[in-house]
Amino acid sequence: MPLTFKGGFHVEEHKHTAKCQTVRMPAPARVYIPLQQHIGAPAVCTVKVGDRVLRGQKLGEVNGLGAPVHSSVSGIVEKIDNVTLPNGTKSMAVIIANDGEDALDPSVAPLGRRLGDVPSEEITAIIREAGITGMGGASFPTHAKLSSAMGKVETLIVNCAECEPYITADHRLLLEHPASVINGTKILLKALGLRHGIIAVEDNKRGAIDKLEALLGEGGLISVKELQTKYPQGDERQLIYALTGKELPAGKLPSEVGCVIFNAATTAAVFTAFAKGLPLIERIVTVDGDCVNKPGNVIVPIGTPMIDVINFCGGFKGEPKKIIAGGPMMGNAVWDVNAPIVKGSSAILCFSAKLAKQSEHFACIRCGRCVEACPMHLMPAYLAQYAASDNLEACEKWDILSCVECGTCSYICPGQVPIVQYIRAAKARVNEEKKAAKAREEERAKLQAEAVAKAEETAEASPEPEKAVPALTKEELRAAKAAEKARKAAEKAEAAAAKAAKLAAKEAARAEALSADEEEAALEDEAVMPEDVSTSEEAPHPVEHSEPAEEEAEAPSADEE
Amino acid sequence: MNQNTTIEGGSGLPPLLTVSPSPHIKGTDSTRGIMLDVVIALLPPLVFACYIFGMRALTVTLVSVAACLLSEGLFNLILKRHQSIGDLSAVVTGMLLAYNLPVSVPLWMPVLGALFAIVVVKGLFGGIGKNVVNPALAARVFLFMSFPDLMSRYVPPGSAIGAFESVSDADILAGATPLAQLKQGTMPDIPLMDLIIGSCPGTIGEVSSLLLIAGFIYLMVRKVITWHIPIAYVGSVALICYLLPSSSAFIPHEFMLSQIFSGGLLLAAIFMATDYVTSPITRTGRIIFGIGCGIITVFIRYFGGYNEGASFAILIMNLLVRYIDNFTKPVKFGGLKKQA
Repeated sequence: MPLTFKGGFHVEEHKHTAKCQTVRMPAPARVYIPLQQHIGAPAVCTVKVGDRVLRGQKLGEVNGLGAPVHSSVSGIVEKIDNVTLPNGTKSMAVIIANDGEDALDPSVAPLGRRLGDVPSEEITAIIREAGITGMGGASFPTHAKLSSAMGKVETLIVNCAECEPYITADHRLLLEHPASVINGTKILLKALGLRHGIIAVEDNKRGAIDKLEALLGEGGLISVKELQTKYPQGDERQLIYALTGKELPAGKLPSEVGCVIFNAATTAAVFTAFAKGLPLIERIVTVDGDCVNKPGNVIVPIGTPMIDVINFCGGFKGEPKKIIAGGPMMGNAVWDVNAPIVKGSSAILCFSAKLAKQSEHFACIRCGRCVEACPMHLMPAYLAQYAASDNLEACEKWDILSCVECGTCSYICPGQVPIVQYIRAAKARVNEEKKAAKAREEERAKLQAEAVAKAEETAEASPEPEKAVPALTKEELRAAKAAEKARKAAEKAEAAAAKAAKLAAKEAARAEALSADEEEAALEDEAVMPEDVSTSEEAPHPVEHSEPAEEEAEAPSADEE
Repeated sequence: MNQNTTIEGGSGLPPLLTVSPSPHIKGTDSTRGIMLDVVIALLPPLVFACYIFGMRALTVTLVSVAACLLSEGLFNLILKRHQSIGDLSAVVTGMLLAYNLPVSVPLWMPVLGALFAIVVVKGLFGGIGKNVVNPALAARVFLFMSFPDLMSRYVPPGSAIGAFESVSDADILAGATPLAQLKQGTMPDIPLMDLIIGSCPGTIGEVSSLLLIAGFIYLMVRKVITWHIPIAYVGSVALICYLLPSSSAFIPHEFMLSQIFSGGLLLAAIFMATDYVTSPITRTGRIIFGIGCGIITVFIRYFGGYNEGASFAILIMNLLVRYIDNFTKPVKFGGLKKQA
């Protein structure tokens, strides 16, 4: 029985390119190597305009969390300029004119040592030097993942689920280079000092499973596990659950349940870094969709503009209406076809108007399909409702922050409700609100402290009368009278202090209200969404549109009835 | 920017691309498809009704469906709402409304019922997905309260009333319906087999238990509904009737079977209680909902002023749906801290 999780949905696979042998495309005339291709700080450029760089040469280095970037061609650095990345963000990029010589950097050389002789720290260092990041999409630096997992995990999982429709890059990798994946896995096991690893493959890749099993045999260091073909089987939480039965809550790292997960392509890249000394400068990209002449799997140098890859695949068939970087369930629609392929780009999908069509009218009929399919066991229908009515409190109560935005709910919704889009927008607002609330809390605490200090000052200043008890008389009555007077004075002082505190509190409240108002206004400003989806179709002209990054995150605003 | 390549397009300019948040693909399920499946599942009982009561059954149904479509269309037009009649939900409402009427009703009654269902119960609450109670059921109860006599004029099976023939008092069944007899503490004169096949007096759609069950199986196979509500509903009715018959004179299993196959229980449990909009969206919630419907139905049949309790039971439970959903909210993934 293939392993799986509760929820999810068997999305139509569209794996048309599963039989397409990978083809290496010639390096383009110009590559755009972004300095930010990973989670963390962007790399700092180490080359200058006019420098000649070689294939595999380091172009940028990072200090904190991040990974260095390398040139995928040899040639002259033409420019260092801002480019739009496939995910819509901007990054400085080293633009290199390819001289076509493909001259390798001298640093590129096989390690030439037995794995057993390489200590764990050195493995991590080599992986870091090779600029390897997670190639499944999130692009978390692999060396950082290794360091943080060191000593905390007992299960290493290689994620070959590839549950996104259309994409077959990992499938082809497993079929054509199963040994790379296996050897990469062994290197990672050695780095972590583990004795056992799992390669997890969805059962729609039967051929790959057979190949891996034949190579691995029984009872070895690494075992192959078959997963049910179901979306989102490749999400790390669902993967961990299917393999180990442990539930990893949203927002937590796999190491908290003793697991560490690497993508199949990442393990192969690790192997390449050891066997050839070659850093991560190319990757397999699936090119598919009804608007491409020759769909297939292409080995693309990092930094190649998407349009060059599409042209290598025979160019567009008909007029493309939507181009997606990554899978159709969680990938990003791009507006600039010149965006370069980065380390995390697994696919380019070109859709015609037919596939890009979105319904403008929708209504939830409460069928409950989204509840059954939600891999996080939430109630998407209610979340979308609360999100649409801007009821952030209810959103939070119904666990909106646990949503992983896999999109299964939107995919299956018969009422065509853009559920995850609503949730995503509201989730962002909940997070903002939380941040703002925290800031307000701090501000309030500060003001309160000030008020208390002020009140104490006043209180200290007034009890003078106590001392002013006339010393000349020793009669008890008079003393009592004086005491009474002193008490009254003290009371007065106290009242004054209280008044001062009250005033201060009032002021604080007003300041808070004011800031809340401002925030609301700001939120409203930001919440201005395109009238409906069709306007956003027109807006992002690839050339003229320069700052459309934020639009991505917003839900279509077609009004709820 | 980096305009090193151009795309071959009509004008030589790069194409205008749609940018939208993921997901970029859509499943094939649609409201219209689901409603079409329900309509298909509802057709056999109609054919049977035409056979057992005459073609007037079809006339009443068609009038009801047409009135529903028309009122929804006009309502949307007047309120300048998106025209939603294409989703076929009004057709389902129309059919269910007609199925809850005796074949003898004057034709203005389905029209009035349709207006009430579509405009008052559904439209004024915001249209499809927003209504609190089942439109067809609410309309049935509305008609039942307003015209109790007209709503209780049943004809005996085999009446063969023509499509446009009005029903005279001579055609009307003089005796009590099976449910009325059960209420009076006697077993129905109609044999159980006839109740199951549908050779008995009743409303247009409720008589053929066999075909209703066939519809249930069809909807299950097509994954339109889950088993939870119908099984929990009918199951709880069966259990109560078997364990606590209304009179000790009854033989428990016979009494139980007559209760299940008389009246509108199956129509209600399979087609009305399972209405998505007015039933819970969690599986556990659906079981609770079904059991609630079952208990109230039996209560009304035993102790209420009416012979049939299914409509009221479902309407009452409809009102509790949001609470049931709230109560049965699933534990989020990772919420249990299950650490093996």
